[in-house]
Amino acid sequence: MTVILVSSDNQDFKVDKEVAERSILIKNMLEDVGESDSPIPLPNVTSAVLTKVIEYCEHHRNDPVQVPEETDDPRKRSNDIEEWDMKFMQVDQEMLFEIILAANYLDIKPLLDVGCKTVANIIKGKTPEEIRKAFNIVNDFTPEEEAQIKKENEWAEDR
Amino acid sequence: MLPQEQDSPFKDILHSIHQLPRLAPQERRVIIRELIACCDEGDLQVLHRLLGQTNQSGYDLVSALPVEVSHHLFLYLDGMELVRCQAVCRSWRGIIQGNGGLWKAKVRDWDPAECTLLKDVMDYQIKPTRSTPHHQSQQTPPMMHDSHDKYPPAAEIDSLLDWIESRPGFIGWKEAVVRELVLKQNWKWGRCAHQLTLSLTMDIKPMLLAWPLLILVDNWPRIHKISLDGFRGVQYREFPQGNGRHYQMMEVPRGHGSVSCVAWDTTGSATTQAPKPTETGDVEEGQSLPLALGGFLRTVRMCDPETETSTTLPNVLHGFALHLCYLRDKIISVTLDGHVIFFPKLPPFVPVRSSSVNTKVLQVMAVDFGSRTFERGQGNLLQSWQAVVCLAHEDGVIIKDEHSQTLCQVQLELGAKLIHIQAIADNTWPYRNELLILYEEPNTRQRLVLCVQMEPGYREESSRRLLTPSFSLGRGGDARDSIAMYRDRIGIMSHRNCSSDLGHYCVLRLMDLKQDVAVSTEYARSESVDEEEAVADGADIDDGSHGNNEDEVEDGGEGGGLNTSRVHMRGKAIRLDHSTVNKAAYRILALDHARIVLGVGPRTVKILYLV
Repeated sequence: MTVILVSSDNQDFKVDKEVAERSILIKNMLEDVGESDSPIPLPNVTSAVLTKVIEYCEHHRNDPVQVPEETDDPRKRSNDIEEWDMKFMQVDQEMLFEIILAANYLDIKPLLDVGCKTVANIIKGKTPEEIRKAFNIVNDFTPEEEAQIKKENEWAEDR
Repeated sequence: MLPQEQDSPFKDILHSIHQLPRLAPQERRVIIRELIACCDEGDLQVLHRLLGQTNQSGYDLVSALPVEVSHHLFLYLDGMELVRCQAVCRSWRGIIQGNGGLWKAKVRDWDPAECTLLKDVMDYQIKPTRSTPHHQSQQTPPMMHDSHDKYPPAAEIDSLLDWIESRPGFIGWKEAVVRELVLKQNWKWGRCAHQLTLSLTMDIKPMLLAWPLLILVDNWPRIHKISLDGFRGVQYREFPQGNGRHYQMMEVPRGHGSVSCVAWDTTGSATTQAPKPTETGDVEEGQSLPLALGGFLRTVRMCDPETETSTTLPNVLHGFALHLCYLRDKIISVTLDGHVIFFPKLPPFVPVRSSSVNTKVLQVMAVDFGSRTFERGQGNLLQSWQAVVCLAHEDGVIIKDEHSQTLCQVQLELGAKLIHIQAIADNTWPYRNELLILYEEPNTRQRLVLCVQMEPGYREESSRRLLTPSFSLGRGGDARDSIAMYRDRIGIMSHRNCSSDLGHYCVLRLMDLKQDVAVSTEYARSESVDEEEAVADGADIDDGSHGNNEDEVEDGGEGGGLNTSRVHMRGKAIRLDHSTVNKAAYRILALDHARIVLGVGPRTVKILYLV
């Protein structure tokens, strides 16, 4: 059984139902609609992003569905990313954020987690200046504010 | 603003772009993406600059994420990284600061027993279940489930955190997290936020650090009870000169005597929080006296610094009292020659039991394992005990129950020399019952830490665990080394004779067994040389500015830890003249997670606040 997903730029993607149901949004939609061949429009996801998301879902089609409580426990949370996922996430930042947004929209928690971990790992171990550089952020603090913040955070600098 | 060229593609594209507002948002994004894909490096820079002008936050993808996603993202960062992220830009700062839940989630990750915040909020008690009777009467204590799960149910932690949050004077999760982080960093780097020097006119004999009090006994003898409660809104600079709120002094009446040890009954003081002296100044019948002094006229004396009353225990000692501790309703005194005597905590203090361990006891420590009982079969008799007293001698540790029965013995390997012990007894989650034994390994003379798990069904063979060699504390202890431990933290003040040009050193080393952190910090300043000489001459070591012989508390640092810059061994050396080397000079007296008490000379105590 397959379902047809339509991206925002009107491209059709034929996907196994099992794969598509990795997305809780699509799963709920299919349950609501029942047996139907009508394509599912995804107006917030472009074809490029959808290709990536489907690639992820294909690879993880056999993973057990996560129990929500388990991932909510902060002590069980880790920043480790599986090797395949790590490779999968080696995309430019724009795409990375699109994937995170799509995962949020489509309600694919594991993909959202992987995306957030990837961004978190970029932030890790960087000074504020390095973070700005990494994300192309303009420092919009006034010099006074900056001095104040610097003073506050003096202790946080690892020498 | 764009060059007016007459080529047809330009005009067409420009015309098409003017149609952009008519498209749906997602369609517009596709166009923009395509457009950016066609741009070269220079175009992107122009674009970026243009965006920077129109939008202060720049091309910042994190800020563009929906709030719930960015929160999820920041949850993967630890507290330190969050602090750094706050300094990135306004929108990040807004996201991070505007979310108390984010910081609260960080607190949930912590080990509550180690957490300053919890201690701060709970009046320095690690026992949330027992902190206030009022709380117990209201509802079942949040942490009282007795399963041995590594993780208690999340709901229990949440209810505990909610309870903390609702307490008056709560400083806020963000401040709490930051404070804890500052403390950790300062510990790691050996920095201190503030230091305080106390000078007494008499030599300091034993002393005790009990949250949040420092009790010093000089050889007059007088008891100095000093509140170190420096980080609960009280400004350091307001530290008083003999002000009753922070500093109390009491003379122990009737004659001289050298005090060798002191014990403070924390459980007793908790139950009688506001001691009510009667009109005659005597302590009310049945009320326990919190402070015990050992060796005073070769006996043990009970004192109450609040009411300035004291009583001498019946003189039944076989020798000089060397150690004292409280164990539930008893006071335990250990003499020089290894006699262990159990007194009841209440008058008339008739000794209940006495036994001998036939060896010199180095350290005594009472440990209360609280609600967890330890059981051990002996024949067909099953013994269980909650509160034990650990007697450390050179070859190991003897653990006795409150009836003086030996429950178990931990023996070090042959030839090893025990230096210090520390017990960790966490009755609440995360349950942790360990005995840390610092000893000197006989062959290499390295100092190592042995960790014995004191779990139910204790069997020493299976529960020993030598901490990894990275915690090796260096070769060969010097007799003048002094060591203090607090939970996983170790402070060692070593005296070293280095090469001739460097002379005699005093180095304070701080270690954290849990975080694998060790720093060598040289806290004392070179001016201290003068102090040393002054001591040798028998002069008063007050800095002269006060010019009187009264005991005084003076404010030591002008803030900021600048006076205690981390100087390595090659830095300022403290040269002690060999003719005046005093074993008592420069020793670490006590420490806890945020404060280190150093003895600088026999009459001066220096307290370093790490936060």
